[in-house]
Amino acid sequence: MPEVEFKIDTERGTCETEIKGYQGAACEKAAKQLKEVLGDPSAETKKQEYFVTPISRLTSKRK
Amino acid sequence: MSKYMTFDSQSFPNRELLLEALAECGFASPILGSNLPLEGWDKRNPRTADIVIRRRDVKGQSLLGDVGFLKTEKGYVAIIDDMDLTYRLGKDFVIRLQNSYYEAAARKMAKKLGGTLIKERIGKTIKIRIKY
Repeated sequence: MPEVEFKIDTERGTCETEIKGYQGAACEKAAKQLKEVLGDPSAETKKQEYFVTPISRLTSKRK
Repeated sequence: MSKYMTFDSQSFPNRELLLEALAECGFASPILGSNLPLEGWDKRNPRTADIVIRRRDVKGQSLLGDVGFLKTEKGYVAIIDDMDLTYRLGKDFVIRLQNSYYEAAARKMAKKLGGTLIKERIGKTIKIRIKY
């Protein structure tokens, strides 16, 4: 299940976000929506899962 | 994912969310416009803003000047008299506003994504998770 996490440091007034539960670049839509409301981030790090290519499996029935 | 992003600028990109954050901080009726003159500021250095909270509308604070927010490329930036910030609103006013803004942004994201929002406070950190 995809998840967006906000960690707000109330003392410093900063916010760290993390988008979880995606493989590959599928998270970009959520990232774009985050940037629309929060502006440009001061730092952006791609996690390992970002570089994973999702594999779609084809199955066929043998006669 | 996939991705971490950190936001720490003191500007507010979204007007709707800024107004929500201001209301949460007790400023429910700001004036919206364009290049509105701020009252109470030095006439030799007149200032204008696009969102204005009139000092007379802030009860119990006796502010020296209006509080304004000027629209810039990066978003709205606060214009507040130094003395008001130090002695009346509190030096951490913009940080408090920023925190309310982040919470409003999380609520908006939850709505956009059609997800459920779980909020918890751990010391000085507010953790909000949106599951969708």
